[in-house]
Amino acid sequence: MINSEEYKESLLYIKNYWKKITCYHPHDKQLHLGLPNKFISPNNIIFKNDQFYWDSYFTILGLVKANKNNLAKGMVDNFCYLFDRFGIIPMRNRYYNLGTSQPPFLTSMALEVFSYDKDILWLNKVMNVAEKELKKYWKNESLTETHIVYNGLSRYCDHFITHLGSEHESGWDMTSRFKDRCLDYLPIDLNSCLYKYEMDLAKFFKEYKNPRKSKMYFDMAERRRTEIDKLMWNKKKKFYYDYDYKKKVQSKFISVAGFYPMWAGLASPEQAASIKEYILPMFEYDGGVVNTQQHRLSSDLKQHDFPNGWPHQQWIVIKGLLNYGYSDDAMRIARKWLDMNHKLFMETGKFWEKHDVVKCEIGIYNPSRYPTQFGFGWTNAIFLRLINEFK
Amino acid sequence: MKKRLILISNRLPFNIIEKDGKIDFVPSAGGLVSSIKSYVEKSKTLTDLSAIEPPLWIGTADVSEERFMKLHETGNLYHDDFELSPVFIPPAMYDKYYNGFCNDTIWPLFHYFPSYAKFPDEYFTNYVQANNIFCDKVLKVYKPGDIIWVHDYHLLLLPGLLRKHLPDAAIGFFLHIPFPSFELFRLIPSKWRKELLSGLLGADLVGFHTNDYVQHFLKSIREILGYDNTLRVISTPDRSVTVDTFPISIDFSKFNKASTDVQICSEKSIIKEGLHNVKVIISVDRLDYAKGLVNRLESFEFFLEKYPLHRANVTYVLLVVPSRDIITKYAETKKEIEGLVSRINGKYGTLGWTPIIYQYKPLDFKKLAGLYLAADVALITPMRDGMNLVAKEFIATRADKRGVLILAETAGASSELGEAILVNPTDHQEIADAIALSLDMPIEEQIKRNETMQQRLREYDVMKWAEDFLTQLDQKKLKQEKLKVKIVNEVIQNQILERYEKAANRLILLDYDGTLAPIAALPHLAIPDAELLSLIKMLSSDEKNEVVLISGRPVNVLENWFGNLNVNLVAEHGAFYKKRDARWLQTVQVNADWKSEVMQVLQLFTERCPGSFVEEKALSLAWHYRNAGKDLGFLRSRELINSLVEISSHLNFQVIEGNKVIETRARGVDKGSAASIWLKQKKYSFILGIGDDKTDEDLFRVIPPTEYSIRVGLAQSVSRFNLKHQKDVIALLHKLINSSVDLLID
Repeated sequence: MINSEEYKESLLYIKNYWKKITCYHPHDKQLHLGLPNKFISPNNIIFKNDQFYWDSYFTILGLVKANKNNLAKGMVDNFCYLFDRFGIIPMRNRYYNLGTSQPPFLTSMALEVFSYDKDILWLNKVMNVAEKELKKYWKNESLTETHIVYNGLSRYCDHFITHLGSEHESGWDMTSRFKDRCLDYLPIDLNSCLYKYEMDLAKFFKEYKNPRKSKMYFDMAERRRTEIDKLMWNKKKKFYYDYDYKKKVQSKFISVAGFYPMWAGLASPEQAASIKEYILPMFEYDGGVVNTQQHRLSSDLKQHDFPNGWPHQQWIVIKGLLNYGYSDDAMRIARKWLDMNHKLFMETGKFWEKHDVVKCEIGIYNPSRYPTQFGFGWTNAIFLRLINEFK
Repeated sequence: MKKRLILISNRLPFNIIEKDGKIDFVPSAGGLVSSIKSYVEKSKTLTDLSAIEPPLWIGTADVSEERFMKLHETGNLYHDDFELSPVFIPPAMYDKYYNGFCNDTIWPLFHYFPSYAKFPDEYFTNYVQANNIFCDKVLKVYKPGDIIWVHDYHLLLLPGLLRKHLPDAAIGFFLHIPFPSFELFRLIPSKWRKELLSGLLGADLVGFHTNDYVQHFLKSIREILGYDNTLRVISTPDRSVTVDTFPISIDFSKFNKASTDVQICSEKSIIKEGLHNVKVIISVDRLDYAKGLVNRLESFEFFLEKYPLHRANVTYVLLVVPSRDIITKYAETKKEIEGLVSRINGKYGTLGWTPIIYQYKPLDFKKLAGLYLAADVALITPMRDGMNLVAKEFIATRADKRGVLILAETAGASSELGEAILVNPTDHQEIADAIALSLDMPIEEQIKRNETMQQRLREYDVMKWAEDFLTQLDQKKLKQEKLKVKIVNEVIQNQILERYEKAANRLILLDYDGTLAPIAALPHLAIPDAELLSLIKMLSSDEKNEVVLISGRPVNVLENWFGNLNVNLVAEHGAFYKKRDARWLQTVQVNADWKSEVMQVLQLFTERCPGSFVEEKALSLAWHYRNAGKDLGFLRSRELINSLVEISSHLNFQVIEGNKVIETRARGVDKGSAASIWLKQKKYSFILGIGDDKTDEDLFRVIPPTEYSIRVGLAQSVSRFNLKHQKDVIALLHKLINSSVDLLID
């Protein structure tokens, strides 16, 4: 049990912060594309007027607990709008980001909102967009920037088909995970996300009395699961790894992406049990779950590498553990994360974008990119959500 | 002729073991012995054997004096490399000295275990006595020209004791353990710590393993004895001492060749097979609480907990070499280690796998090298270690360039072995992660790291270490010889007088306090007496002379004292000047906004230091502590300098330390630029500048090198010459006057 009283200063800050980062930008103007509805930006400094794709899912997890379901719904509609207009859900609403998406979470955010207002007509509309996104973007073999490349599995790939641009699409800009060859890997997180799309659609159509489509998506999901088990599950090392389809070998790099199968529900109970037993302890530090294995071999700082941990990845791991019944472990990690965020808030008066979970400090960053931001959209949201989840 | 080397360490480099009437020399363990030995062995092959006298080694022996003499008579007591000269210390004294002050006081304190350190009086008195016995021994055998090299924390007082008797001898000192930060060193009772540091300053060259230790030592010297240093040269009132870094090393080629030795390779195979070819982590340490063994075992346990996949795939071979286990803390440490080993083995071990293999026994070279070769990871995490040669030996032994070294950042060796995985020895998590990282490290990465480290160790091996130290000691002596020439003697004085007499126009620049007048308790008490006034008058009445008094004093004081003499004056270290028959002028336009802020700081310090006071001048503020309690005044002055330097970075003033005074002054004002006013206006055929403290250094800098700049006292200075005492200045000035008088008479 987590007692929200312990975190009351932080919660007050979060409550008052929403209005600072609620944006309305209805027309295309300068760098930004217009969006029909109000939305949440990560902060009002360097990310003002930006609605990010995957950030929005994790932000919505908190918004629905802050009684801001309509705002959340509008944000999902913004993505449907963007897809209808451009055939892609871009990483954010800026002109120059139209060639790059981000890990897909559209069905997940729609279902989250739906669970509060049960607006089935709206859900139907979004699910139709998600179907198109899956088919025309992530699994479209005739697209120049082909994502689906090997045994029915997909990779990250930007419009210019570059390793760097693809790493941006992964959301992990930058990381040692792909060894600067992002295009060559079938990522475990992306394929788990797509598995979840297929399962969400299968379940939705089952509810919606369309057994033909439902079966089609169940079969797709099952085929994907079989391939993932074959290529990405390492029985000896008891964990999921990205697959280098160019060299036909499994990556050796251990990252939090390997927890996505538990979040998406594709891991078997046995797989989940061994991950919990053998792998979770390696990731767990005083501030929560770290993003990757240690890699002191590389000298440049990358924000998605050790020793950083990110709010959204905490959610993935915690939700994954809950999915398989490991609620004690889930709560222990949640508490570590909350305590670190609260401690940093009491010290700095701010909530931060990412964290050094080993030292429980503000996350490290590469000086040649941007400094660690405060605000902060998904950090606030996950903090609020975790307290609600375990109270 | 090659000079003889006298080495002095607590122990002679061999143990004498007598069995069945046979006498054996067994080399003692420890870095120093092997270092010196290989240096001597190699230098023999390099030089003509007959030209060098073997080094003499002085130290205590294992046996009583009587027994030693008997053994000596048998003729068996000799060694190829050294001549041995034993010191005999009565057992009761030895116990208080060695087990007491050395290992129950200095060792724990210098290794950052202050709570283990004890300070009974009898420890120190016996330490002093023991050092005196060593001193007597050295004096007995010393011949002029010998080089004396004193080793380690047992003999901190010895260089000072020797210096009293041998003012010109070349004396070096090397400390083999860490020198702790000042905060720890100051825990030693005041009288002792002063004696210890003064003892060390008896040496000409003091060596440490790392730059950190050097910095700590310099700080202790500054804080406790008040001697400042420039570029690691400490100036004491009568000599200068050089301090430097000499990281001790190993015989690189001996270890590097080990893998070609059949017997060593078979040792390696025995270990590998015995452990069923699982990955091997090793460590080798002398039993000591400072080695971090308890923390290391806890970290290994944490590793097994956090990385369950590695269980049964890795074994930790923990070798502890017996040492000092009659001291309580050591026995306790041993017990604790053994408890942990059995607990961890009990908790994680299986019938087919033991997590930790533990041994408590000495190890010969072949077994040791075999172990280094069998290891995948060397885990060396001392809480504190002067150097740690095991780390270096491991790297050197791996001719295959495989294997990963995990090393504590608190080991001296870490400053040279940066390619190792450096960890904090108390951080279980960091050590556990480092073990996992090492076990998975790609071979190419291992090779890359080890190559770099081997290169470094090959270039600076132990032979180089001893050579480096002895060369520097030699150079130091040469420098001191040169410095001697700087003191104004009869010859130099005559030269000055001769130049003075011949010169058609002369510029004479004189500081006041400490130069013309002795330092007085209160500045306003340093009133010039009639004799001095008449001296200045005579000097300035010679029309060939341009006399300038350059003082730190304020305008009104100088005006009061010298206003009616026809003499040039400079006040406040160059802020104001008055030419003869002219009015006071400011040398440069500067602002004094910073004064109020500095004043607040100074007043705070005045309150905290009874007897001290602030002197305010137009463009400077001075805090005098000559009347404060000696120790407190000095202590506060150090703190004051720190606080002022901190605020001076954003305010326009500089901090200058004078004799028992800390002065803050506007930037751009100094005695040198003031002197330039006269230097520029005319060409002089004789220039003399005399001063006594740091503020006068600026003056010396603007005096041409062919002219005469003289600093009072023997501190390091840019001046051309030195005079020992203030009264020598007066004598010199009298001579100048008289010589011109003589000339007039002629």
